[in-house]
Amino acid sequence: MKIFVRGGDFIYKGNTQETLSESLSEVFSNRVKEEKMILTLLAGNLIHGLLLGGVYGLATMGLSLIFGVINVVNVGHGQFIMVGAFVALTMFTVLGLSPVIAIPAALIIGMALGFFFFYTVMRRLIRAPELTSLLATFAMGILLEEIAKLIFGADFRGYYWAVGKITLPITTIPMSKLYAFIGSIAIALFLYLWFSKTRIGTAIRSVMEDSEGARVCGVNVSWIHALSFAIGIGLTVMSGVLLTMFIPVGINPYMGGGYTLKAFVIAVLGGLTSPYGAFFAGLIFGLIENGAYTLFALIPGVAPFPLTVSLAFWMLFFLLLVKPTGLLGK
Amino acid sequence: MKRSYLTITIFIVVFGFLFATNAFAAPKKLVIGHPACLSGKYAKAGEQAIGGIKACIDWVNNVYGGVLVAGKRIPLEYKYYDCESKKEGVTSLIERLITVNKVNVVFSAYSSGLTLAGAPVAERYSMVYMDHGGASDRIFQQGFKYIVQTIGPGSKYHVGTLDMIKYFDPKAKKVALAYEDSEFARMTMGGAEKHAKKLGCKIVFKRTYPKGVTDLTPLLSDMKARKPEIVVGGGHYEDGQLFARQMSDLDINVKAVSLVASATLPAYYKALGGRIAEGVMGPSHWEYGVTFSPKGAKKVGLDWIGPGQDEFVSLFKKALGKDIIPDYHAAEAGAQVLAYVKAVENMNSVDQDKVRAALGKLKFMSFYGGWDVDDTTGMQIGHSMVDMQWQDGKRVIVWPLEAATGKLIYPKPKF
Amino acid sequence: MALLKLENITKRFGGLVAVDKVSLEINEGELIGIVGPNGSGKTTLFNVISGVYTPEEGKVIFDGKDITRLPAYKRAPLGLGRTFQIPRPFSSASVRENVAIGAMFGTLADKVTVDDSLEIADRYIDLVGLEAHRDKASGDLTPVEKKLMEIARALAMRPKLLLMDEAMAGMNPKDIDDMVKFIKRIKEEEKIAIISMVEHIMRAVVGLAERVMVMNQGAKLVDAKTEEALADPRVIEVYLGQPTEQSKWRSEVWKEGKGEDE
Repeated sequence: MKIFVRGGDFIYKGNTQETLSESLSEVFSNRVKEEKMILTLLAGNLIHGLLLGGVYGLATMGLSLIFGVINVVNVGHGQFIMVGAFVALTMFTVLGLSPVIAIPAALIIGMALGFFFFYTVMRRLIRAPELTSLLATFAMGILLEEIAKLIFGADFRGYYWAVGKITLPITTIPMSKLYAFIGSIAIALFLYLWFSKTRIGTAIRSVMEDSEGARVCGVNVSWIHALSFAIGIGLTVMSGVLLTMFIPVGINPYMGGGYTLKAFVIAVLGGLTSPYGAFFAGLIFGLIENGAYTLFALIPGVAPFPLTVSLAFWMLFFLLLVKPTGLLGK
Repeated sequence: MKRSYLTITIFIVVFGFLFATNAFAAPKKLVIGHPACLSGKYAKAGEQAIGGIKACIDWVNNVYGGVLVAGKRIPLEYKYYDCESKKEGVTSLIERLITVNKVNVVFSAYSSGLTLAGAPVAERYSMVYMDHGGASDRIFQQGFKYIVQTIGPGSKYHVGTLDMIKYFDPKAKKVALAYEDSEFARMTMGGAEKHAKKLGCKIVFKRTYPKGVTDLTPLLSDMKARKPEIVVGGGHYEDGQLFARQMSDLDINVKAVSLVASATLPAYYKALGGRIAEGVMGPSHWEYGVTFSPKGAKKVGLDWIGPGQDEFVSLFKKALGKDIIPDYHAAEAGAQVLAYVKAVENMNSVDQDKVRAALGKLKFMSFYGGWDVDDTTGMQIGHSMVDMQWQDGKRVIVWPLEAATGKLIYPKPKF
Repeated sequence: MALLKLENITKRFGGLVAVDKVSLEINEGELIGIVGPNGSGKTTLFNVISGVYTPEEGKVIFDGKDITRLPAYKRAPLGLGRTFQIPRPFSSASVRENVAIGAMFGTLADKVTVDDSLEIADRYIDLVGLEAHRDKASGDLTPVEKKLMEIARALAMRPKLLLMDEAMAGMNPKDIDDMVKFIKRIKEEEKIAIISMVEHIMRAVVGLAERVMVMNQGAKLVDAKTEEALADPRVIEVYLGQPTEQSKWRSEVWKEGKGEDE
C-alpha cells in the first residue's frame, strides 16, 4: 500500500499498521521540524529587516523634513545617498578611516551640498509650481551621478570593514549591520531631542506648521528654509554611509535610483511631512520587506522576491485608501 | 544576324559589368560595428570586450597584414558606441551602425538580454550578427538566421563544475541553486539542475532573485537552513559580489561555491576586500594560462589563426592603456574577430549570406580554444569551459585537468 | 516721541492703489482703532506695518528706527507683535510650546533659554485663562481658545506695540464683552500700545479705543476721538451709503458700544 503523506520529501511505502503509525509520527516530527525552521527563518529575517529598516528610516527622514519645511519633493534623493556611499568608500579605501568617522564627514559634506544647492537653485523655487522643483531636484540628481562617474568611473565597488559578527541561534549578524542600526537610531533620537528642545529646532518645527505665523513671531523663515534643506540633505548623505555599512558592495554612481523609489514609498507611508513618521515607516518597511520573503516562500510555486517588492506598493495603496495622510501625517 | 550580334554584345556588356563590380567588390576596409557597454551595469565586462576586440583587430591589421579578400589585404576598422547597458541603446545603435556607418558585421552587446534585444534589428537588415556575450540558449531558439555564437551556451556553464566536484568528492550530494532571474542565468540554472540530477545529487534549494537586488539576506538565510554542500548560482557582476559578501555575513560555510559571470572578473577579489573571495569559484570560457597553441591545434586537426596567448595579453593592455589581465569576456570578443576574418577569407567575399554560411562551416582553434558552430542555429558547440578558483588572491584554473594550472582547494576555506 | 509713526504710506499692486498716502501716529501705551469697510485698505496697511509688504512711498518709523524696508521677522525682536483674524497656531505643538515660541523669538530672543521661554509661556497662558489646556495640541482648541492663545503668544514676545487684526471676528456678544475687558486689562498690565483693526464689530473699538482712524478706499477719512469719528457723517455714509439711515446707525452703534460695562 503506497501512501503519499505531506511533510517534505517523505513518501511512505509499506503495509503494516505498526510501521504506518511509526512513519506517521516521523512525518509529524518532520513537520514540526519544518515549522520550527520556518519560524526560525522568519525570526531571523525579521531581525535583519528591522536593522535594515533603521537605515531606510533615517534615509527617508531627510526627504520628509525637506518636504515638510519647504514643500519640495527631492527627486534626486537617491543620488545623495549615493554621495554618502562614496564618501564612506573613499574614506575607507583611500584614507583607511573606519566608516564611523565617515558619518560626521558625510553630515558636513551633505550640509555643504545642501546649502550650495539651496542658495543657487532651490531658493527661487519655494513659491514656484511643483513641477519646477521636481525638475530641479531631478537635474541635481543627474548632475551628481555624472560627476560621480567622472571621478570614480562606472565600476561597482565595495569595501570590507572587518569588525566581526554575532552568532545567535537563529541567525548570524555582522557587526557592521548592528552598528549601522545603532547609528540610525542614535541619529534619529538626537534629531528628536534637537527638534524639541532647542530654539532652532523649535523654529524649524514652527515653520513646518505655519511659516507666516512663525515669521510674525520673529523667526527668520528664509534662513530656516535653507537650514532645513541643508539638514535634510545632510541626513540623506549620512544615511548613505550607514547603508554601506549594511551593504558594502555594489557602490556605483547609478545606485541611487532604486533607493529614491523606496524612500518615496516610506515617506508617504509615514506621512509625508513627519520625519518621525518616516523613521517608523522605514522600520516597518524593512520588517515587511524581509519578513514577507519567508511567508511568500511558503507558498509553493511562487517566487518570493518580486512579490516582496510589489508588497510595499500594495501596502502603500491600501494605507492611502484608509488614511490618505499616512501613518503619522496630518 | 544582326539580332544575335546584339544579344552577344549585351551579354558581354552585362558580364563585363558584373566582373567589373566584382573586381571593385573588394572594399577598402572592413568595419566591425559594436553597440558596446561602456557604462552601466555591464561596463566591466564591456570594457574587457572592447579591449579584446581592439587587440585582435590590431593583430589582424599589423601582424597578420589584413584580411585577404579578392586578392587584396584589407584592414579591419572598429566602430563602437556606448549603449549604456540598455536595450534601447542597443537597438538604436545597431540601426545607426548599419545604416549610417555602413558596417560589414555587427557584434552584439554583452549579456544575453542585450544580445537578444539587438538580434531582430540585425536580422531585419540581413546582417551577420556575432554574439560574444549572450549565452542564453533561448537566443538561438528564435529562428534568427544571421546570428552566430562565440561564447558557450548558458546551459553548459556549471556542467563542468559539477563534474569536477563529483570527481574530487563523489559523496557530495546536496546542491543549492540560487540564480539571478535573468535570461542567461535561468538557462545556466536549468542546465545545472539537469546535470546535478544526472550525477545523483539532491537539489535542496532552488530559488531565483530579481535583477538589481540589494539584499539577499532572506534568500541566503533560507538557503543556509537547508544545509547545502555545494552552492552554484549568480548572474552578473554586481549580484555576484553581494552573494559572496552576504554568504560571509551570514556565516554560510559550504564545501564549494561557484558563481557565474562575476567570480571570474579580475576586480572581484579586490572589490570584496580580499579574503571573502578566497576559494570562490566561477566557470569561465577562458582564463589566462590555458594552453592552446598552433601545435595543439594541429594535433586535433584544426586550423590555427590569431595571436598567441601572451601576444594577446600585451595587445590587450596596449588597447586599453591599462595594465590589467584580460578575462574571458575579452578573449571571446577577440576570438570573434578572428572567426569573422577566417570566414571572409574562406569565402573570399564580404557578402552577408556568404559570410554566414562560411561561419556555419568554420572550424578552427585560436588562443581562445576551439570554435565550431551549429550551422542552422548558430550556437557554439566547439568550445569547452574551464573552472577557476581564487587562491591567495590569484585566479587559478582548476578544471579540466588538462588545462589546469593549479589544484582545486576543496572544501573551500571558511569565510 | 511717537512709538509708531506712519508717514504718507502708499502701497500699490499694479495699477491698484491699496493704501493712499496714509499717515498715523500712536504713542506708547495708547490703544487706537483702525476702522473701515471691506476693501478700504486696512489689512494692507497692517501688512505694511508688520513687514509683509514694503510700501512704494512713505516711511514706517518704529521706536525711532526706520523699519520701512526691514524684513518682517526682524520686527518682532524690536517689539512689534501681531495677531491674525484667523488664528495661525502651530497645530501639532502644545499650547505651551506655541506661546513659548513667542518668547523665544520676540524682544527677549537673545536673553532667554528654551526653559525660560516655557516659564514665560506659562505666565501668559494663565493670563488668558487657558491653564486647563496647557499641554493640549493647539490644533484641538476651539476658535475662541485659539484666538486667546495667539494673543498669549504675541504677549509672550513682550512687544511694545501689538497689532490686533479683527480680534473679535466670529465671536458671540458675550465673548466680545469678555474680550473687551481682557484687552483693557492687558493694555494696563503689560503697558503696551495696541492697534485694533475692525471692519464692523464696533464694540471692538467703542469703549476700548481712545482714538479711531477710519479708512476708505485706501485713504484716511477721519482720525479723531472714537465717538466723534463714528458720529461723523462721512463715516456713516461710507458704511451705509444713505443719510436716512443715520439715526438707525447712531442708535445701533451706541447700543453696541454701551454694553454692560459702561
